[in-house]
Amino acid sequence: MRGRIGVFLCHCGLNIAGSVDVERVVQEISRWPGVVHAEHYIYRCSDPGQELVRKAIREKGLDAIVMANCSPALHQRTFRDLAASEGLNPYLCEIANIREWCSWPHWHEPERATEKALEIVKAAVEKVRRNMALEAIKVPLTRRALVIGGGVAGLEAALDIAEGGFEVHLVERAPYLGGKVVGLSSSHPALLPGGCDVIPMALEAVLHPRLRIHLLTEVEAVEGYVGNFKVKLRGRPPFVDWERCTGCGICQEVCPVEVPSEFDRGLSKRRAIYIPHRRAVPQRALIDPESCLRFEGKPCDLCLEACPEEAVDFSQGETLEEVEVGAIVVATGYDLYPKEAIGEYDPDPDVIDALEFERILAPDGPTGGEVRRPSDGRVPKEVVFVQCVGSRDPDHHLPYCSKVCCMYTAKEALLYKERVPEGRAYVFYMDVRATGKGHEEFIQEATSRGRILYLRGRVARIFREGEKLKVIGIDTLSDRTLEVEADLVVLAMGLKGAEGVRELAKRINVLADSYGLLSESHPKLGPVETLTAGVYLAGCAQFPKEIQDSISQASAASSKVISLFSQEELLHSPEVARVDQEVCSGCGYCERVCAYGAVEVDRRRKVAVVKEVLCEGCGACAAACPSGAAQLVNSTYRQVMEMVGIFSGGNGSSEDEGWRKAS
Amino acid sequence: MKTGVLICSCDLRPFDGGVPPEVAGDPEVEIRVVEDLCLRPPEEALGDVGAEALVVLSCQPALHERLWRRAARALGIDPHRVAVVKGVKELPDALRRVRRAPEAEAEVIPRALVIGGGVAGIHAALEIAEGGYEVLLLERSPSIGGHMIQLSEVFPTLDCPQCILTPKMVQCAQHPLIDILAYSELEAVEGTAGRFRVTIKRKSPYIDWSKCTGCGECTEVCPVELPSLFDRGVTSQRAVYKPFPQAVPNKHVILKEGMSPCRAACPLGVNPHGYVALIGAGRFEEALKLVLERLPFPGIMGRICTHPCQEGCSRKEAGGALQIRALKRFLADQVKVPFVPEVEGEREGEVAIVGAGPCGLMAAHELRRRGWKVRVFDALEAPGGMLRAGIPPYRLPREVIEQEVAPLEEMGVEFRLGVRVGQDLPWEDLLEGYPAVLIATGAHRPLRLGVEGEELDGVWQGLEFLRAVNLGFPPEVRGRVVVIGGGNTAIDAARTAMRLGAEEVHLFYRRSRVEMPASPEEVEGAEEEGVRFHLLVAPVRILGDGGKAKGVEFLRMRLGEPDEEGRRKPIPLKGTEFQVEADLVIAAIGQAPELGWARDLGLELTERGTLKVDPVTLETSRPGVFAGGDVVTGPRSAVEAMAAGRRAAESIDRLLRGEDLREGREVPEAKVPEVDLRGVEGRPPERPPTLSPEERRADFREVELPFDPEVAVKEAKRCLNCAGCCECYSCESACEAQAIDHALVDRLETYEVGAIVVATGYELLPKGVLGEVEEDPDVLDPLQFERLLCPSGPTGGKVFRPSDGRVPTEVVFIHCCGSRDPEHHLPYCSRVCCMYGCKLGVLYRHAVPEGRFYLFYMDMRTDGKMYEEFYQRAASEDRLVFLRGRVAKVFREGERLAVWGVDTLSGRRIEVACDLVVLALGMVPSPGTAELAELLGVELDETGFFREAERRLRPFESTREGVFLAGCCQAPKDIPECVAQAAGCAAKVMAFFAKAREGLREVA
Repeated sequence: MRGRIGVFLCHCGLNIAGSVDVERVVQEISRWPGVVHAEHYIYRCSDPGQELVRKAIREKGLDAIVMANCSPALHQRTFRDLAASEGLNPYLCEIANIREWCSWPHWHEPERATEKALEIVKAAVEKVRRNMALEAIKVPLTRRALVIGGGVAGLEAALDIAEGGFEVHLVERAPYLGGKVVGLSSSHPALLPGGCDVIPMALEAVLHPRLRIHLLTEVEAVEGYVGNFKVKLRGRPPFVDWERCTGCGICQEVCPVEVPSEFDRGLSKRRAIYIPHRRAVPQRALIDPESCLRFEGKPCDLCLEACPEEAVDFSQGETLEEVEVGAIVVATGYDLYPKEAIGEYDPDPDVIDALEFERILAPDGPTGGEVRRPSDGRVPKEVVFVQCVGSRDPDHHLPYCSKVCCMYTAKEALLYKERVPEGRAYVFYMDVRATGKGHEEFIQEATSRGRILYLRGRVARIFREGEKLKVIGIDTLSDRTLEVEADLVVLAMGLKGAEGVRELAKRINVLADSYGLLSESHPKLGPVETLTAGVYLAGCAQFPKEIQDSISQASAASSKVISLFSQEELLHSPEVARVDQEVCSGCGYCERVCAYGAVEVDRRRKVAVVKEVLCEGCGACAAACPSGAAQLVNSTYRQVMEMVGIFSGGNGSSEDEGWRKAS
Repeated sequence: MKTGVLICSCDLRPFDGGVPPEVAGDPEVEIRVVEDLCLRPPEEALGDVGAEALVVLSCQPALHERLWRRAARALGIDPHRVAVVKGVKELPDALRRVRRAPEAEAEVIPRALVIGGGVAGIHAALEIAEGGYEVLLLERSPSIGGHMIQLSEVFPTLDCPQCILTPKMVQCAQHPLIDILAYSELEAVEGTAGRFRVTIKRKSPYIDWSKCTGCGECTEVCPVELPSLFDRGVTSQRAVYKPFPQAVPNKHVILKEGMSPCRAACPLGVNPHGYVALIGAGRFEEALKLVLERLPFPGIMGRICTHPCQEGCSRKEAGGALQIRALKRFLADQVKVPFVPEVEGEREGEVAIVGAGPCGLMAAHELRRRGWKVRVFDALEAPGGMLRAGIPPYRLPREVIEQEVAPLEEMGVEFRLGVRVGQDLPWEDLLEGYPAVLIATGAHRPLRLGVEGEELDGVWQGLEFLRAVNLGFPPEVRGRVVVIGGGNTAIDAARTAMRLGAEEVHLFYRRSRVEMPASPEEVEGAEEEGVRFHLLVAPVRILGDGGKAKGVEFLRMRLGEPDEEGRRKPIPLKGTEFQVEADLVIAAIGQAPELGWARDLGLELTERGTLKVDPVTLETSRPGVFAGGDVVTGPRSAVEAMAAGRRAAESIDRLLRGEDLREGREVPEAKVPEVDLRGVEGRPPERPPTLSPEERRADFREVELPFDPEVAVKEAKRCLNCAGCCECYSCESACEAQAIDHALVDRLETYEVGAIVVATGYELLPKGVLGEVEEDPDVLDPLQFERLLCPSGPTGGKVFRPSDGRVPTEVVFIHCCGSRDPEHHLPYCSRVCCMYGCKLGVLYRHAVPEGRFYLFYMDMRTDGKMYEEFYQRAASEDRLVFLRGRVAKVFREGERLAVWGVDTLSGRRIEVACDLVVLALGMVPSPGTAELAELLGVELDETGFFREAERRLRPFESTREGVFLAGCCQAPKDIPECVAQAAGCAAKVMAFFAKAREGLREVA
């Protein structure tokens, strides 16, 4: 039991002192048993505020301290480090959260706020009185990273970590690197072909001695924790020996099967054995077992015979590999919100999404860069671009703004006008959002030089009338209904998380929202961290963003990884569950409630065992334990009930044992 | 050297020849044109050549260089012998480059310099330090934190930045690998990537930071109030300050901007800024003590000084100069400080001072204070010289002179009065008899008009007239008095004549009012008392009748070209003679020293008939004999004479001690700050009360009365504190840690670093650039409004309007002020304003629930995570009024502001009357960015922000290797983007440093 406790209140400017009478709290807590020092100060986290605490620890010989201020999420580490700097075990420092729990919600009732603050402080005193001095748990650290996703963000992250001196596994489920950027016609505002950006990065990744690339591979399972993840990777076979394949393409010339090309988003055909696209890195052929005649049991070995390198190998099977890594970067990118989800727009071959139009504009696309509409191959004379399709629509679709559509729409419209100078381009928009470097200038250029007609309004309906598509919308600037007869309609579909990302998120214990976007740890200051230590986010997996912002975030994630790997040892909080082996009956309740897989029953000895490094100290096991054998270090039953006692009007330090659970 | 030249050709960029012959014809060059080079394995393209160097021609060198360096290694080519170029014309140069022996790669110093301590700099520093490398975090202001720490709360979560950034700031301060160099600037950069030598100026905080505890006692006592830097002028701060309570480092600085003009202008080195500030703070005794440090005669000078300080005052252009002289007099009259300075200890040595005027008295004071025996000779029966003989008592009452001379006698100065040296005591004896003599005999010989009739009875020389009156023998005055001259003596004579009973007093001056040498307030006083002025007339002769003057004949003049002194010369207009009748004529056109005796004693004279002295030491041509005051300069002001007295005293002191007379005395001219008067309200000065003209004419009572204390404080508070710190030294005595050191100077330090991160952030466009918005105290920039809304800000989160402190019930927020306006201001979008507009509106509505908040916008750009949701909530739940349109005009209408705009959605004109307008001013690079870019040798964009190596894929590398970019110095961005970019930057720095780590040398 600690008997020389110090209590330190913070005003937090007016955040706390504006409703809590800090002077009164100090006076009253000074009389509480075991409290030998209490004081308040305007900003406890400031240098002088901390110095006062140091001084009190030194001069009053305090053996435990209670810091009454903001949430422990903000300053627990600050103040525990502070305690340690004066030789006080950091776990003998407790935070009494009198801001988020008290002054903020009770802003307009100062009297009650003051009383509640006092109770919170008393409860913290009662807790810290029985705290044990603890040492952090040391955890081994594997200095190797896993990057999931081989798009521009994943490549950047992987290259940075590798350049930082550490090994990286880069996993990509497609048969090539580069992600969606490779398929773009060009990127604004510089108007350089999309692939030209990312291909050098992809090639560099291939050449990098510390990077191992796993294509056609997905993450099957993840176990472990920061510094010590075990990841199962499942690889699909290409049915071609890539060591031998030179990417000559003879196989795909002889293949008799034609199916829609995924890369061209169905606007062209590929064969059953194919090189995904002309600029794929690596240039390797693969067989799609879904369409290959051999896999339907039909006798066809045209490719097998044609391949000069004898690389075709129908006997390849799936691979399963386990890799050990210390950190994971999730860079799984985005998918477009499906245009089929918009009921008001009739399905039509000439109503296409923006990525499809990118392929039409791309020099290496199905039309060689000539603008032709899918239905009849004619050059469209009137093209309507519709922005915010599915975005900014909290009632029906995505509530958020997809960020990139304003810019790519302007770019696409401008490219269209360049290729079809006599054509007319209409853009329906709500707000033009051009916030990045050079973006506003680009839009102004597009509207003036490109003579693109911007119409402010939503499009209500799109349907076919003969040769043409009818687009009906409202111009909110003139308040009139507009009808445009169009040859082609391009929908700027909103962006959402990539297909399958929510399942992946579950496997790596990261929060995903209902749109498949992964949650960062703090929207301002922690944009790449997640709530799971050792797992970081990059690129559109977190939220739609421009290429440059993806790059920036990817490098930021790698910085976190490099920092993590630069530590000499990893430390884990010792505030974990412990099981009293004498009392435990091995019933297994704890095992069932543990979300982290940190408690297991030793079937032989019939007792529960805690894997401390996995334990996050949530206390679920302690709550579930019928015998009181599982307890949380420094949040024991006794401590918790003492605190509860304070909040229910008790006087603390109760010797009444009546609350103890019957065992 | 065998060199491979690889040329890429693809459908996007087909190669069409044109390789320069010098490259094509080089036998050692192997040119390969490769289809889709970037898709080919390098060994396939060049494996068989055995090249030792490589040049690649491809589309985007910035993106391909790293790739080809790595590829080259695989081919056995030294990565330093690789160049990637874009055009064929660059090939010859590239070829030469790769064939030159690569410079030995400097060892990389694994230490980074981060320039700028805002949110981006803080994060970059922390990331790099967490990666295990040393970081210098350079910040030019006294604390890190940047603009973010000024914000009230941050969108979309409404976290308070004090809560989320302070821990990071403290972490920086406590991190063992981070060294914060606050209040410092980059001076020079040498060397190259991996090994830069940087010179850093550590600006003097005038406080020893190793002793400062940040307690703030100094701030408590500082009398200087300045517009707060941190609160952007919404409130005030002191000259010694800590920018904000959570500052890191927790240290104070003193804001000094050179020397205030008033102080620089004072020949005596009195510190008006200091005592005015102390008066403003109501600390009169301290103020008087500060005056007395340099001026033992505050009562005298508080009345008759020609106050060059007021001439220099920056307030001149904003309402009128501060009434410094009157404030000094207020102190002298109202505050009683016993003042007999301590004599430092008796010394062996005697000094004779001839003349007890301002120069002699000051010298006597100084020399006696230093312990020398001082004997003062004067021809008059009482000390004061011209103060007594020349200045009438209604300007300087005799008892004031007596009061202020008395301490001299108490100190032990010996006065020999009524002794005319040269008559009663031979000059030779005096000069021989003392080791040091100061001649301060003034200029008492009147200059003559040189016209006919000057010798007539009833014609007085001005000075003689005044002396007669002042010494108690006034001549009879009646009828009409004519005074000739425009100096102070002429005015004094005119006003004196008025008091002696003249019916009319007419003053004639040969130039115009502007050229008149008399003090304007004296001229004004004379006019009030009824003296009539006749300008541009000169006397031709004095008319007499029976040996008695009866009148004067004048000739009219016009002004010609300026003479050598810059005054326009009067030119006679022929045939304009006219006559004026007079009962008394007083000619007051100047005085000169009487020096008939001087030459014989070996004292040289100047051409102007004054004593010739060394300008620094004031020593005459005769060693040991010094001279000062009017006898050297001709008639000048008392303050100049006193200054000369002090200067001569210093020389004599040195002489008697046997020290060098000259050493260290030529002080460089003080730096006088330029003061920005924009936004300063032009309140006119408080005037001291005066007797009414009727009362004045009756007798010689003092005309001007002292300020009341309240008025004095009010007037003192008009001071603009041009130099910041007023050097009253109050802080010095308040500081228990004895940390204050006003003599501390800037110092230069050099460091070696391997990489530099630029994170210098942004500033807002100044409000004044918008022609359509009137300057008004209630038109705020957004950071000012942030400060008003900040719960821990200067108002405790209570919103008030600056003009009158009322709670604004209607606020208009105008988006895109200067942004998106390529023709007038900035072509780009400032990116963050839409969101903070919504945020400020929401915070305002929380603070003033009954208030209304209007936003004029062009497009709402809320495109980040949770941003659109925030915007929609602000409109629906917080009921902000969004108006789509541009604002045409903002102007004051009585108590309120009027905003005129057009709603582009309805097409109608909108007029909003409101209490407060907030302008979302565009973001521009922070001041000094261009100079910094120059120092660093990196490029800027056409918008003035730093240029990145490649906009999309290399956004945080500058155009120079080893120099990286983070945050808003590259383009406007919001906090998470800055944080991400800072961390990204750190990754690049760490990758760069990783080369320096053992075992990683193969990394290109």
